Amino acid sequence: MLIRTENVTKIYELGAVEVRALRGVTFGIEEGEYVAIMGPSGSGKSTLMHILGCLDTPSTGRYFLNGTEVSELHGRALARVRNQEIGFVFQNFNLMPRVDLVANVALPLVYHGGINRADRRKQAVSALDSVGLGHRLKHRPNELSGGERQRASIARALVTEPSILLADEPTGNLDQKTGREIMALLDELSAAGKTVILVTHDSNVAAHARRTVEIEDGAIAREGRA
Amino acid sequence: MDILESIGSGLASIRSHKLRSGLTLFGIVMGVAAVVAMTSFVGGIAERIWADFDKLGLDNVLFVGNMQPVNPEGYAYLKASKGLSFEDTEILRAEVDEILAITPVVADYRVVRAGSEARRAEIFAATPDGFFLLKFELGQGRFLSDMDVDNNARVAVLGEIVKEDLFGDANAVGEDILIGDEHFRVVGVLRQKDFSDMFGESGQEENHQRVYIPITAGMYYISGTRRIAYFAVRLKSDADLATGYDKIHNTLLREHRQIEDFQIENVAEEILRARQQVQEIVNVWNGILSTIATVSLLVGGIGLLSVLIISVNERLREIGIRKAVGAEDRAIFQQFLIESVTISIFGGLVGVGLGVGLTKLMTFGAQQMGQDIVIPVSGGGILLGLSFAIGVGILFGLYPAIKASKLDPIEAISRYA
Ligand SMILES: Nc1ncnc2c1ncn2[C@@H]1O[C@H](COP(=O)(O)OP(=O)(O)OP(=O)(O)O)[C@@H](O)[C@H]1O
Ligand SMILES: [Mg+2]
Repeated sequence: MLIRTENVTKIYELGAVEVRALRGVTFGIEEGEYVAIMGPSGSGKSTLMHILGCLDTPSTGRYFLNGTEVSELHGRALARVRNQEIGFVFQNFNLMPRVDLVANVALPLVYHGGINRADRRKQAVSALDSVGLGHRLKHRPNELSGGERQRASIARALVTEPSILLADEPTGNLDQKTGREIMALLDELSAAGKTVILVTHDSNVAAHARRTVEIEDGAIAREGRA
Repeated sequence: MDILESIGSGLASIRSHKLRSGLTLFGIVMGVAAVVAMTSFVGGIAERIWADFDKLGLDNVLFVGNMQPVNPEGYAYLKASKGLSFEDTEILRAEVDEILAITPVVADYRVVRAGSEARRAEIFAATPDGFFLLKFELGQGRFLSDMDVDNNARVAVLGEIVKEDLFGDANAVGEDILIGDEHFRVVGVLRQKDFSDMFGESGQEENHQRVYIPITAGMYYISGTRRIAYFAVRLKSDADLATGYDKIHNTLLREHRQIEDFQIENVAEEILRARQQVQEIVNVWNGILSTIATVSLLVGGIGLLSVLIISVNERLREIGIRKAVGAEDRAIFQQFLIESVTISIFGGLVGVGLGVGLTKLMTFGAQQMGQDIVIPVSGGGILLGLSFAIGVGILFGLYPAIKASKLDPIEAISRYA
């Protein structure tokens, strides 16, 4: 099993108020699965994705990734997992505005260590090629359409060849047509064997996945398979 | 993150916030410029003064002269002793280890003639040690030699003014002169030294109005006795001053049957005191310099700190993205520290440029006012200024860099409006 969570909770303390964003999530995902996480706004989908992506750590419970208990990791070790095991795609792209696409996509390789600048650029260009942006290498994010930006951020997520691709509402900021193009790209990646987990409100988007997990109020409410 | 990229990022941040960076850098630039200019100024002036002291040639020098009677009783007292004599030279040299060089001096005025020119001049008879001891410099020919002394040779070295008066621009070395009625041959001419304004001519006049001859010739042709006018003594170091003084005093007392028929003029002590006074002034200036530098660098540092904090806050999303794709805390820390140091070095370099310019301006200004002074740019000052700038960059970059490195990736990304 690639991903396994055991009773994962996340509690935010806001002064005296406790926000229980996750109330004990236990589930697993096999290598190569294509999973959609659904649920109403505020149900804890992003919180779960951040924990799965090692951008955040659970308050209690355990999280195993590839057999390693990453809920025990901190600092350097966690940064390494983020860098090498996970590709994360954000709803609002989160590209760096001041540099071109090649530099944006090469960024994870900078922190990978031991890859020289020329090789980093080469790998970034090939990742951009693979998402159909081979003709936009020198452009800055603000010179691109939303769909192109999301492709670039997918290229960045793929450049270190991670085992998992996590996408938090990847089509949320896109029109329907562009959203479909992005989904086609994710379908391709899934077909090529990549493990893909995405969050969406849109059942049409969720229909691309072969398995859906519905979250309500910080816990898994339903699961289904296509 | 590459070091090069961080440096580039620092320079980019200067470029994209010209006004803000300019204001920030102002303090660092002024601080470093002050360090460079003031170090050059104080160092340059002090160097010049020390060089003048060295040239003056009176460090560790004592003059031992005959005591002059002030009343009849004193006269009777002094008559009981023979006064300073040529023989005292060797006794002092042998008994006082602290003595580096000693020369007996006999001096009197005579008319000196060369061809049709004539003038009165002080005839100064000494040993070759005298030239070394008083740090005279040779213009032409040679100094007197030990052989000249041993042979009673009738040879002379002219002070430059005497030479001018007797020979004008013509060559003097090898020419004959008459001192009184005696023929002497000129073997050398002294050269006047350059002093800065502070020391003026510094006794040059006197030295160059003289004709120098061997002590033996002086005793024979000038004084006609083996009594001498005074000794000039140079001690080995200023640490020997007190003991050297005492030993000379005691040795002469013993030799002169406990009659104090001599007096020691402690020039060395006066020079030492003058040097200390100059050093104190230099210290005061250095104090002022460090205060100015410290204050402006602190101001610059605080400016740098605030700019870096603003920069971190403006770049929360960038920091979040970097961490999300796998940047360790250390990498973010390094990036911001290198940026800080890049900005401060940039300010430091501008400050060095300004400081060098100010130093050149000081030289120019001094020369405009007719002072023949060159204030050299102090390499030590440049180094000091730059290290200050780097220090400020590190010190004030530390907090923002730590702050940036400790940010939580998700918070950093989502706090971005
Ligand atoms: N940093 C935080 N501090 C405090 N509360 C938080 C924080 N992040 C999330 N929450 C709260 O946790 C709950 C779950 O939030 P989360 O962002 O995971 O929801 P979501 O399912 O992704 O919603 P949406 O569909 O709107 O994106 C919400 O009530 C939210 O207000
Ligand atoms: Mg969300």
